[in-house]
Amino acid sequence: MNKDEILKRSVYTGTHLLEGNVAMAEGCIAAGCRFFAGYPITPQSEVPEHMAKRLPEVGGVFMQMEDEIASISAVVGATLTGKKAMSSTSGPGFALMQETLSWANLIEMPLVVANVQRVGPGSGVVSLPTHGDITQIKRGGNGEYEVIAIAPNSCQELFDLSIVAFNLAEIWRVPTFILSDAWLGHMREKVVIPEPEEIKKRIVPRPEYIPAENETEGRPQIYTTANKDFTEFNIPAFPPLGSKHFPYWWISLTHSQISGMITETPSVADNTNMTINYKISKNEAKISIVKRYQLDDAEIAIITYGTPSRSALEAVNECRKEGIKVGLLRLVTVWPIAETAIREVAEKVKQIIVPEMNLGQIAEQIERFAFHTDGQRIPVHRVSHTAILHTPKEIIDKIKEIIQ
Amino acid sequence: MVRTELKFAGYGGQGVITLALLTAKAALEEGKEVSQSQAYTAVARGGSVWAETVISDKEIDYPRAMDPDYMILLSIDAAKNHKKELKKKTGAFITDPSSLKKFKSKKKTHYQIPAAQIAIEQFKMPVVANVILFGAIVEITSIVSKESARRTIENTVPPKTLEMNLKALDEGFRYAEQLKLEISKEHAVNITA
Amino acid sequence: MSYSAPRGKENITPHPYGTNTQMHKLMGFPFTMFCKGCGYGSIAQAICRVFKEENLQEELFPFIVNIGCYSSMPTVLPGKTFMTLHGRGIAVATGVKMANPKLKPISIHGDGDLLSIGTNHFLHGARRNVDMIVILLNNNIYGMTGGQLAPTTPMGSKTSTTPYRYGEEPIDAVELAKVSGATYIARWNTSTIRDFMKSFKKALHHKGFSFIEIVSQCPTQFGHKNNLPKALDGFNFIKNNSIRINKAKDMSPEELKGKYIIGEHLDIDRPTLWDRKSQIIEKLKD
Repeated sequence: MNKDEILKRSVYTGTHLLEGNVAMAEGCIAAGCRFFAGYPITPQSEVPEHMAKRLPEVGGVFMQMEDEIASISAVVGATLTGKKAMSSTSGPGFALMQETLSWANLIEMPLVVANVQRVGPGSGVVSLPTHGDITQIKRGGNGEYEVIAIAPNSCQELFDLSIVAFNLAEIWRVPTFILSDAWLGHMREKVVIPEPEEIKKRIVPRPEYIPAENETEGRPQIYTTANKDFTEFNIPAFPPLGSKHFPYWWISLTHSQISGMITETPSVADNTNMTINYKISKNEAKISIVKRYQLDDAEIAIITYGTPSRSALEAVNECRKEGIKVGLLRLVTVWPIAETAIREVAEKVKQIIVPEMNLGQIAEQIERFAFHTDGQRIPVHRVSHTAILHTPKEIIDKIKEIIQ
Repeated sequence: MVRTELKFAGYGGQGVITLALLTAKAALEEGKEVSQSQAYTAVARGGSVWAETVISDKEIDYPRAMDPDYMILLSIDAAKNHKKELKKKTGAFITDPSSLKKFKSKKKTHYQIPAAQIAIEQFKMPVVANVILFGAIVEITSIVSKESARRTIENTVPPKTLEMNLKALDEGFRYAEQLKLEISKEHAVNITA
Repeated sequence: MSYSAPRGKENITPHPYGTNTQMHKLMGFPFTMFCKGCGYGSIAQAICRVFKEENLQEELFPFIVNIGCYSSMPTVLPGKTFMTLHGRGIAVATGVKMANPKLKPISIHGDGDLLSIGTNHFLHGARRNVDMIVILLNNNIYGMTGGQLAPTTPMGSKTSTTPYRYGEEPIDAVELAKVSGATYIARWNTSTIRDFMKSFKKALHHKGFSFIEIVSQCPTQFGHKNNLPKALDGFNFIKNNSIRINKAKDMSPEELKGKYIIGEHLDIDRPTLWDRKSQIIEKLKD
């Protein structure tokens, strides 16, 4: 098979009625994913099932591993070897992956993990949706790290944003997450997939390692370096395992960002942690994607993400009909938290409502930025559920309650 | 048609999700926006299941049924649990008397389609009951044209069984058409009376 | 080769095989971080020799190193090394092999690593017959963390976590590999290094999941706690408790209790994981 043939096969062009999980799998394959390792867990089992069918068609490999720990480890191995690789799971499996994800963050692996969230804690309810894993995504593993997480709200977006997720992973060299939920994963909607040529333009390929540009004193420069103030970052391509330029000892311990070698020097370890964290958090404005809706003259802003944003959209439309000035800021990327956009909105509005399918994991973050320019705090109201998708009416009721 | 919401309920294995899927596919066939979702208990067969199809000409914001236009009930439990969700004045029930005998609605229009009975008596094949019911739903709700419904069946069923399924679909159309006529006559009688 | 601190390049006699190591290439001298009398140095040296004798293209035989005493072994290994988390080497190697089938990963494990935290991956790697080599460096104890009970610690030994010599039945890695479906299995000890080299060479050319266990002395932790304080004590303890496989055939299970049966245990052919995966990909091409 030549490249054109593979590209043609990898894009399922046309207008289809696709299940959320399948749309996501198709998006990932279109984005160039050629290795998938996973373990069956409801409600994401359609993802591995679809991958098992589709990946061999495009010359890729599907692996059903012995558990989620093995799955994510195999994904690290495949990513390191130069393939775009991913895994998908749900809450309990995601918890098992945390140790490896923490490590993947340390060694800056551009891999993708989809978390089709189900109600927890424990084994929870397998068929009910939640956004209970939002904090776990970046605070689940040992140590501190920043990740990119993207939250689609429709089957079409599950396709489109999967490509964006793979792109962000490559650009920022960081594990990137697709946040779906039990309900979105099992929903079927119209999905329009463009021609392969059109998809090709959207894809960011794995950057090629060029020895002349990326070597310091004969050693490959495999990690991101930053200037003293952590304002400029140099994110290098890394040599794949199996190439001559692969370093002789790529360690899983805290390393020097420059030499890549083991360190126990406090200042060097400090620098490593600062670099991998600030690489994402200080570039928040460049990374984060938000959608603004009817915000120009809004007095109340709804800030939300994922599936509740569709309820919120309906609520905004209904309220506008009644003349209530409500707008919506939808966080397409949940992490890093879109500080710039939230501050901008907070400055203009009087109150903020955050409908979430958890008890306020992002509302806590929003509270950090909910100030007017004069320093006056503005109230952040939560509309929380842990296993139920908000109805538009519920949000409308909350809006009417707070304007009184 | 701005927004039509269909809700299906029954128990696992009855074809609740199949029906929702067929209506969604048919809507897509006409280029409409569609959102189909479902919920089920952990039991694969015999547990309670409900599914929804929301069809609209415009983009669908909230993808769940907020105020269903049609409620398709296939079991006693489903009737108990979901009957009250049909609040719209113009709302209508569609039931299959072979699995839900005693169901009656005083205020709402009620279409009884004995799909399972027709499937056995006329086609000697219980599986086509879903297609008969689908035909009846299309006729009653007019969410899509008959032609689109036919194309949906052509694209869905195995080629071997296509002929029989198309016949079943036509039977669904025919039965529902007649039923509609009868009901509107009754309605007219009620008004004049 | 066991311990030579980098006192200055000129003072160190170049080790015959040390020049092949990455550390030598980089720093001009080889050094290890192993304790005095540890067997791991000689194992690393044997691996270096095989790489030199076979004239292997180093990037095609990447070492996957996990967490344990041997984690610093890459300083004296001849090829490219990727260090993973505790016990996850085989899972990572499976990903590596599937993403680039030209490579033959060599996963190096300790006894805690392979037989405790990562056993699941070991069983399934063998079951799938991933074309890779697994080397188990068995020193009968958790050395790096301070001498705690390992799944291979002989019954009744004293360790940091069994101060009253309370013991557990040790696990037999070779038997485990056999029932899991490994296609090449051998066990050696530090007194049979040349045999290990032969086995390692065989494994390099073997298509499938190769498993080689090598039992090593640990004077610092195991030896110190069990009256075998010197390198030679531990060395002899293992040597005296090892029985060649052809001899062991005629011995009763009672006689073999607590003994290491050394030798080549299995050498068969079976389609590998990649054989099966590539077949499907080929089939779907047209």
